[in-house]
Amino acid sequence: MHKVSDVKIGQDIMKINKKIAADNNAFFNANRITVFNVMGAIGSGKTCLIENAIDRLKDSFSIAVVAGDVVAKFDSDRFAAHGVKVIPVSTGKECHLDAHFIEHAIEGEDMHNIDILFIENVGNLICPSDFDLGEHVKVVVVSVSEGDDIVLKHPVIFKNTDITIVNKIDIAEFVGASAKKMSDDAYTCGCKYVLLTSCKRGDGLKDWNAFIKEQVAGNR
Amino acid sequence: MHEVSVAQTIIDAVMNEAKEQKAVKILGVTLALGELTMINTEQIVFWIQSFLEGTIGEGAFVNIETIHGKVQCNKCNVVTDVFIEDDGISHYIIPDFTCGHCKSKNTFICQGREMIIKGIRIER
Repeated sequence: MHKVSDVKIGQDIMKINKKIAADNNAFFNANRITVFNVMGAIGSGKTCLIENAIDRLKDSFSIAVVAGDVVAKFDSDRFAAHGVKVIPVSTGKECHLDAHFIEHAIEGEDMHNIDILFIENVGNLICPSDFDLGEHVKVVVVSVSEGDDIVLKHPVIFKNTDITIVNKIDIAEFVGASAKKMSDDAYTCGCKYVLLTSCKRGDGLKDWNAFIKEQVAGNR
Repeated sequence: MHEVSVAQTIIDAVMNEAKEQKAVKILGVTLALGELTMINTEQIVFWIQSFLEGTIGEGAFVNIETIHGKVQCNKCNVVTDVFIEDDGISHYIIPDFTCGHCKSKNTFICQGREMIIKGIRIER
C-alpha cells in the first residue's frame, strides 16, 4: 500500500534570478558602470534611442551595449557601426533577458573602463518586467504607433520603470494617437518621469541624454 | 509568454524533490503566484500538466494560490493592498498602485511578484 504525503518545497523560482541580478549589480558597482535596461515593444525605437545616446555621449563616456534579441546580429551590427563595444545575446525562443543571460554576457569581457552599459532587452512589454537584470535604471520605450491605449494595457511594466519614453511623436497625428494621453497614462501608472521623443525630428533627445548623464552622476 | 520556461523550471524542481523523496507518483503540485507577475495561470497549469505527461506526475492536479499585491508608500511608509479591478469578462486587470493610506502615487510594489513552488503531494 502506497503512502500519500504532502512535501513542502517553498522555493521562490524568482529567487535565483534575484540572486544573480544582485551579483551582477555588485559587479557593475565595483566597476563603476551605470547600467540601463532598455525595454519596449518590437519597433518602439529602442535601438535608435540607444544609437542616438551613443553618438552624443561617446566622447565623454566609454559605452558598451548588450544587444539582446531573438536574433541579436542585426542590432549588434548597428551598434558596432557607432564604434562601441557590443556584446550580442541571442535568446532564441526566449521572449526576455534574465539575469543569467547578463551574467554570461559579461563573463570574460573586459568591462573595467566602461562607464555606461545599455542593455537592449527583447522587444516585449510583458515578460521583461518579471526579470531584474542587476541594472540601475529601467527604461521603457513606447511608440505612438502602438496605439495610445498601450500604456494602460501594460500597467505593471510602467509602474516599475524609472523613465518612460513616448517615441515617434512626429507620426502621432498620422496614426491617430495622442502622445499626451500616453504620457498621462504612464504617470497614472506610477512612472517617475516621462519624455516625448522623435529620433527622426530630434524632439526630446537632449532631455534623453541629459537624463542619462544625471543617472551616471547620481550613481558615482 | 514566458510560461513555458517558468513551467520547465518548476518541473525540474518538482522532479528533483520527488526523486529525493523516493516518490513513486506525484499526485499534485501547489504553487503560489503573485498577482502582479506576468504569468497567466491557465497557461502555466496547461504547460506543467503537459510536461508531466509520460512521467510519474501524469494526471497530477496543479493548484494555484494567489499572493495579493501590496505597495509600500515612499512618503508615509505604510503598506497597503493594491486594488485590482477585473472586468470579469476579458479579465483585463487594472491595478491601482496608489497608497491606500495617504493617496500618494509614490509607492513601490513590495508583494505580489513571487512565483513560489509551495509543495507537492506524492505517493511513496
